[in-house]
Amino acid sequence: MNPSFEEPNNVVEVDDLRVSYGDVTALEGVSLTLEANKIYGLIGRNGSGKTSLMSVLAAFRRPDSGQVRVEGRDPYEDAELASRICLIRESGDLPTAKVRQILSMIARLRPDWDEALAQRLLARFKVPADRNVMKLSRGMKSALGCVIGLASRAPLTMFDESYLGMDAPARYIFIEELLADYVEHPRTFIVSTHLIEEFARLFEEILIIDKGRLIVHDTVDTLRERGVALSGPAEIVDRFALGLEVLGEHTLGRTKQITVYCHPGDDLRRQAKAAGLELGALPLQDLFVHLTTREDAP
Amino acid sequence: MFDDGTPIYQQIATRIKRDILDGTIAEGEQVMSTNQYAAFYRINPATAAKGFHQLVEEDVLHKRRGIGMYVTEGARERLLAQRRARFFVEVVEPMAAEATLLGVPLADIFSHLEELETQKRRMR
Amino acid sequence: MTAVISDRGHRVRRLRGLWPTYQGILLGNLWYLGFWAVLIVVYTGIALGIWLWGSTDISLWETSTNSTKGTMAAVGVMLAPAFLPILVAAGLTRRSFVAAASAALATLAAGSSLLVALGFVVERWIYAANEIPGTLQNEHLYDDTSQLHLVFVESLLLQLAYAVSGALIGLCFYRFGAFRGILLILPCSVLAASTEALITGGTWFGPEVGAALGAGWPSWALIVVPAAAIAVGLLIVRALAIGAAVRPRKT
Repeated sequence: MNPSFEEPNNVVEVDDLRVSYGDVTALEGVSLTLEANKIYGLIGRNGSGKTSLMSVLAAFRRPDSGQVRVEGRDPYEDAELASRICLIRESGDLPTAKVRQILSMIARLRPDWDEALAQRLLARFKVPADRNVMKLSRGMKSALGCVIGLASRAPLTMFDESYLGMDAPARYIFIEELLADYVEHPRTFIVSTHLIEEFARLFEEILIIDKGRLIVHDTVDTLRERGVALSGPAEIVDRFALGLEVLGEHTLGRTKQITVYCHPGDDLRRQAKAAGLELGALPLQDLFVHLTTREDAP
Repeated sequence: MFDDGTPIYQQIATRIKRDILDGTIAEGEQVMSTNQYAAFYRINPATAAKGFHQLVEEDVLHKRRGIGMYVTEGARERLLAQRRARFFVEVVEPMAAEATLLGVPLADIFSHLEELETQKRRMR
Repeated sequence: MTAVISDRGHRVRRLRGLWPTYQGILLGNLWYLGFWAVLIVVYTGIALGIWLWGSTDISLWETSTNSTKGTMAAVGVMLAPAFLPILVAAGLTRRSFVAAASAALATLAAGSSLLVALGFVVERWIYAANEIPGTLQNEHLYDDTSQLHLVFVESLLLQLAYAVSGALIGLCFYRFGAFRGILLILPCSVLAASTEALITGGTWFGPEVGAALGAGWPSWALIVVPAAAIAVGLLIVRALAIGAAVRPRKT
């Protein structure tokens, strides 16, 4: 299977990408490189440009400028490559037909389709195979999208908020099945979400997009360590904060708490302890909120 | 599970160490593969591998090529020694500080501990 | 050409998955069979009514089958919005979509032209038994409905012209949005309207143009010119589709 011309280690290479819709710029100056066979989390607020990025990678649209390479090739109108890329958008792109008919159609178009997996997932998500898609609930449609995305086994698989409308147990099944199948058949996943805490465990690396720009690309663990909450007497905290990248602060009486975005290798934790400040870990969700609500994002 | 701010791989390492300490996993026994571990706890396999790697570095686990990961002989003793060494710094000292702050006399702490000990003996 | 050489010397395939796509598009247009069933039932009803209570000397089949052209246009209009995003999401190129969709349109047009020709055979048989002349209302490539090959070719050309005009309209709406889509309906309709004027003397551009266009042309030109126009129409469909972005979903 998979007659690829070369096996580059970087499955995605994006250089100075710009995407706009008329007057609205969705992405600007985005450059990134994604290694093969990792699970990436794509995080951003609504309208930040997540969908645009994935749309360009999946050849749903052309970039306005910049270069996009998947497996070293331009994905747009490349028949072979396109069959190896799968983007499942919210509620899927599904025709008005019975679930069974849709799956058999897609099965014939996807070279790496796994029918047994599709049937097992369908049963696990309790999606009725004989029902018309238009009669499915939103959560069921999303689940069907997840089934298609996993069973397609595309070397580059992307889920764009595909789990919307799914309840928590169904989302857990999705995470579990994605991991199980990823372990058996390693491939590259990009999963966009704003439920960071719930999905973080799934990711190896996280990309944060804000206002059309890529502001963070880091491993989940590094990111977790980079967000630090410091609190203590206001004057000590203020002195300590000089020269640090402070994301947010609030004061309660004489106590001040700041959230700091530190750089890996900083000796911040030890120094803060020595200065008598209280250190707290910052949940990823909070870090994300702080990073994407700054007035002047870089 | 895996929800406080520390990196997940550290939490994994801590969890496996605890399992070794309380005897859930015996020395010389094989542990789950990173993939099994990842699937079981629904975490990224790379993260699980990082946690395992840390334990290999500390010689708590060791790899047998092509077979899997095993708990190193003597690992439990070493972990116990480490924990004992940290016990007074990490548990007793903060407790003493708290007791001082609250004005709890040391004698009260001793008598409370002795009482717990007698209760435990009676239970057996 | 379906293959070009990429910047890294890799041969890029442009077409893939045509057969399942073709079948999928046909399956998605199964309602067209339903339309034909309704058409035949309605025709039979009218014919029975006239036979019982009235009289006619014109071909009812000629008038009834006019509706097939509009229906083919509807099939064409729905192609892009109904199938393009789904197929691109299933990993297909736009070129593959256009190739498979063109084949599907040709199949539908050929199938329904066969039915048109067959209808005339049946009607001639009934009219002959009841001594009804069966006069034709419009101009045609044929002088007599017994020239079945010409009946078929004419119907095929007309249905394809309408279908491709429809496909252009649907694609313009999909690609350029509703406002510009409405403005583009007129140019997109030129193919259908001029083929109609040329072959049947249709009055889209007024009765004078309808009568004058194609008058005195040799009959082969009346076939070749519309066929060429349909081919050009399909090339425009292809060009429009290749640049079409799959639209963000409204939620």
